[in-house]
Amino acid sequence: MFKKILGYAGEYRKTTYKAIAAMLVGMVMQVLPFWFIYQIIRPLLLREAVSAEYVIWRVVGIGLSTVLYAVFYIWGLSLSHNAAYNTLKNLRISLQNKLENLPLGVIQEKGVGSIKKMFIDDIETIELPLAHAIPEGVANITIPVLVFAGLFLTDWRLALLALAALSFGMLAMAVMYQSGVGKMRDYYAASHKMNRTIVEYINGMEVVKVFNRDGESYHRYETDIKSYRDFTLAWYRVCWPWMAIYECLVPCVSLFVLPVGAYLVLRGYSTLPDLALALCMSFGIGAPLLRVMSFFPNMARLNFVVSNMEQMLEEEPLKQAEKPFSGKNYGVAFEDVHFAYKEAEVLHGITLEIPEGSLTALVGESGSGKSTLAKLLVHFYDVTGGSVKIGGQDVRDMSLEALNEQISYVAQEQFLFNMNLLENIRLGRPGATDDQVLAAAEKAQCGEFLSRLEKGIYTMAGDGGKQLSGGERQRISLARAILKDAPIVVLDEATAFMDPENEEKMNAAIAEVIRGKTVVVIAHRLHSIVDADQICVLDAGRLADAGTHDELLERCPAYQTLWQAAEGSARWKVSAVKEGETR
Amino acid sequence: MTALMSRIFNASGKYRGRIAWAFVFSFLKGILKNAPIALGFFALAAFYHGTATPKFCLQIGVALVGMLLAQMLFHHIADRLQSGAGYLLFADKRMELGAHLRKMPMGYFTEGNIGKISSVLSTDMVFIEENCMAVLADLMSYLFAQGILVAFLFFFNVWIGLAGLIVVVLITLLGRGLKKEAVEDSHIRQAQLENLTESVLDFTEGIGIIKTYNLLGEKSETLTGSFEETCRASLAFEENHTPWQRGLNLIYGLGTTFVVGLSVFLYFKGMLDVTYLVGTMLFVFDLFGPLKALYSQSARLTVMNSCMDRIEEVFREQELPDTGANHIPASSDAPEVQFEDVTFAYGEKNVLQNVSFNLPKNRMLALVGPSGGGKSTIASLLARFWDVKAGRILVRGQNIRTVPLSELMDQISMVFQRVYLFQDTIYNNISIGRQEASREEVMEAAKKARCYDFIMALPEGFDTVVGEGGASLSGGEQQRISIARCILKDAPIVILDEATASVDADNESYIQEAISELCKGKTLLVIAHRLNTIRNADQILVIASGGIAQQGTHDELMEQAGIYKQFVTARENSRGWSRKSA
Repeated sequence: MFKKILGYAGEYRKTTYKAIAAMLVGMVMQVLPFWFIYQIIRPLLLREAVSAEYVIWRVVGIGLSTVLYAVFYIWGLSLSHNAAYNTLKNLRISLQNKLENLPLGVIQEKGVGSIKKMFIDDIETIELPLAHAIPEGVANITIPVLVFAGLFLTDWRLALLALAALSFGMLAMAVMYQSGVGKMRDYYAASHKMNRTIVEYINGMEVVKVFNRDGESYHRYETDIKSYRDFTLAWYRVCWPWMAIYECLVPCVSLFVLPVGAYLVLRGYSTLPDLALALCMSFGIGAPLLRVMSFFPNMARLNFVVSNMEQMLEEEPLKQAEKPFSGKNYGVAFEDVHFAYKEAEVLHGITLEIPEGSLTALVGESGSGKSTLAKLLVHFYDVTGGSVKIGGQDVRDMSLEALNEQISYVAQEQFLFNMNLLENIRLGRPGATDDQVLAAAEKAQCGEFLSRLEKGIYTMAGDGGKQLSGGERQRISLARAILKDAPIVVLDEATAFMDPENEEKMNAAIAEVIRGKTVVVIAHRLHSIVDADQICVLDAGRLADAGTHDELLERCPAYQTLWQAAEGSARWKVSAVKEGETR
Repeated sequence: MTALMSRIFNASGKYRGRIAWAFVFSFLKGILKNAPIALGFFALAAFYHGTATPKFCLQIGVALVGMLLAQMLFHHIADRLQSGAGYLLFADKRMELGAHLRKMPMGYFTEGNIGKISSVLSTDMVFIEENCMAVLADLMSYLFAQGILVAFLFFFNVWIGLAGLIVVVLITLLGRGLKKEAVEDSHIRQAQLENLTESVLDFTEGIGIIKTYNLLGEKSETLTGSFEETCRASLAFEENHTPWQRGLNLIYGLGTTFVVGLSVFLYFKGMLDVTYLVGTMLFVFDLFGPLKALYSQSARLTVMNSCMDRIEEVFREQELPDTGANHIPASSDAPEVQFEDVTFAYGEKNVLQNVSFNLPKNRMLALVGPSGGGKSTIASLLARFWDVKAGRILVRGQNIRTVPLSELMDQISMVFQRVYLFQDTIYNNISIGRQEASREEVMEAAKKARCYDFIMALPEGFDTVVGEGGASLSGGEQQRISIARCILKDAPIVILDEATASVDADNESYIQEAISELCKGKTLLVIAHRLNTIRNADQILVIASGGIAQQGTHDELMEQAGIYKQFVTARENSRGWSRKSA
């Protein structure tokens, strides 16, 4: 049952066992006083003479037991916390390793939100059960077992009577789960629906207010909250009676022991001291028994959460070799490249030659596959057919590190790490001197806004970064790429429009990034790439045509359409004037 | 502990009565729970005195079953009253919060706040209703149960009673320290969790850069390091806690031993009857049970405490007053939109200072200027996302604060970069613009917004469900649907963030066409980023550092030396990034 989670405990598996052992000793110490009490009561009940010494030793025994209980129980708890937190740490690290080996494209599809949820929220939910459920659960189960064994040794009839009461309690619990299952499903459905409505209610607040629909939206919100409440209460109404029954019955082990046992003593089948002992034990194990009840659902939940997390990262890792880059040059070749997201193939055999030092633009409508093609070059995914080569070497035949040294991928990303801007840029080439970093920043047109910041390039990206506009952050990323100075540049040109107010600065920065490189541009606006050495027109996952701007304008209908739309966009002006009206 | 409990009890409003009753039944249940011990005591006493008979056994049995049944009944009633009250109470609280949110200024719904509210509604409230309400009455009844048990001891013997009382006082003192420690720790833990979240976000958001720049080694160590740090910190908290826990457990144990020892001593001194001695022995291990149970819940109560803090924080946010009873006239000689000496501040810092302008009907006003200069703020003030700090904003001569918000909204359409589509059919997402519109009108709006073709290409056309779990649309497609909404709404004033047109460069021309349709014959307020798109504006305001730096038409502004002319010239000199120009 705990195999899965203990698998992550690693060297702390032993700590878990120690915790269980310590708690067991603790639990024995918790039950032992009942034995001493029995020994004190027994002669009194039998009207035998007792010496003060006899009693004092037993009282000392009780005192020692309770002290040892506190010591061992708390020690077990510390050990158990130690094991639990380290297991969680190992679990997180193991998930991190899995995550790191996934193709980058797959990671980005999963999204930051769900990855964060896994590392933080999901693991948080298993923290308590892990720290308490395993050791305490094991101890809580063991104690009743020991006590019942002891009872059987004392008097098997009294033991059976004790078990009988317990089995009724178990039965009530089983009935509760049985009859509650249907209602439970309704409850989960209602809870899911309510959460969805809450998210929509808050996120859509702006829209509903603008369209004066907040009354209606509030009404739906109210309805779903009420139905969650009603379904929850309906479920509980089924469960409550059974809950009351087993929660009272399970700890009441003495239900049959007391009256029937008394009768047995009266008839001479059992003895008064045995009965007293049985009673003491019955009173003592009520609490642990009740705690056992929550142990099984907790364990089931633990397994469920861990399996879910494992499944989420269960993907084919990227194919790569531990070889350095050995390509003859920095030319790129796509050879009959096929690629499918899950089932659907989105690239159907693309063959394309990109000579060293040339500028190639990929154009096409959105969904044509131009971004996907570029992502295959930077090995965000593995191709499903064909190959991608640099200087004749397949990208799968080199390590990802070796590939990354050859390529700068400039995406729409504008993420900065929580360190100062200088260090953020230096990530492009970790060995670079401050002067080299400053030169790169200057080339990326960062000078103007850096001088505006109080601490300049030493501003922390985390707090001061909020003062930077999207375009300014983008230029920091460009400085990083300039510093990296890789021979091949893959550029998502939408980047240039992150900051329309500083378009010309962005343009100058991009010109620096691509100077003298083999360049592949994912082009969204045709005007920037009319001078490209080669323009490749993609249409629904196929290469429709490739050539220079003038060639394509002459012979490629798909390109002509794109060009016309581009011309129109460039001329577009906002206007309040109706047709036929002049002002 | 009692402070934490009374906090939630006081927040229970009209359900306080129910919870008080629940507490009575919990208490009765708690007493009956110890019935077997009392009966055991009687039985042993009867055997001791030789008065036990089969009939007596039967009586004991009947009494035991009777008390068990009564206990079950009380347990059930308490559950119904208290857990039931929890769900009823928090359903009310959610509705109350929902109603509160409805009255919040629209500007409040930023990404950060949205996250905060969602977690209050779906996590914090759930935690309290599921985990705290069900035990609240139990916890309160523990206090009384503890009192009764000590009183019992006094009934047996004054000295034993005193001994019990001393132990109870000691436990309470230690418990106080424990609680203080727990509350402090919960703040530190919260901070720790935030650190962890930050490093996970840093890693996952930056994973593209980390991988492509071969930074995996270093960044991966940083993340692993923060996992290790979390582990260390969590263990340190537990360490802090351990002495208190150990102390409490020792006092329970030694206190119990003390009472046992004292009873035995008194017995030998002849001050305690043997049956009382046996009786004490039987329930001595339950003697401090109630307090033990109470303190075992301290972690739960401190979590509840911080949940309550977050809930109350959202409730404390100021609502936007919406008490206006005036009306915006259908037509007026006054300008369509007027700003009079408008000043606005986020917190302390003024972001707009004495801004005044007029926008006549069916004219276009463009706001240009550096980012952070205040352009967007002007637009959001017109739609009352916030209220002005000083000055007035008028629509057709009517101060917008003196008319109902809904009436103002009827006059305005907004096209911003942030688009929200409901998890509903495309048809319903468009028809939200005007509920009474016919199907034909909805289709017509979709056509005008250049949505029709891509909608019809979807498997279920207009009935396709979008949003999470539904069909996924590109940013540009979502934007066009939101424009279709506005076209259907047909409000006379349109606020447009021109950057919306650049949301999806591949589909730019479609969005532009959609915007052009929306703007026909309207009064336009445009937040402009690229200057050539607003060249036709009737008036251009150059907004810089919270004020109007320049105003006029394009031609007028081009004749002056100033920001506008600099902007335009710089733009014209820019020839894109192509390599040959570099």
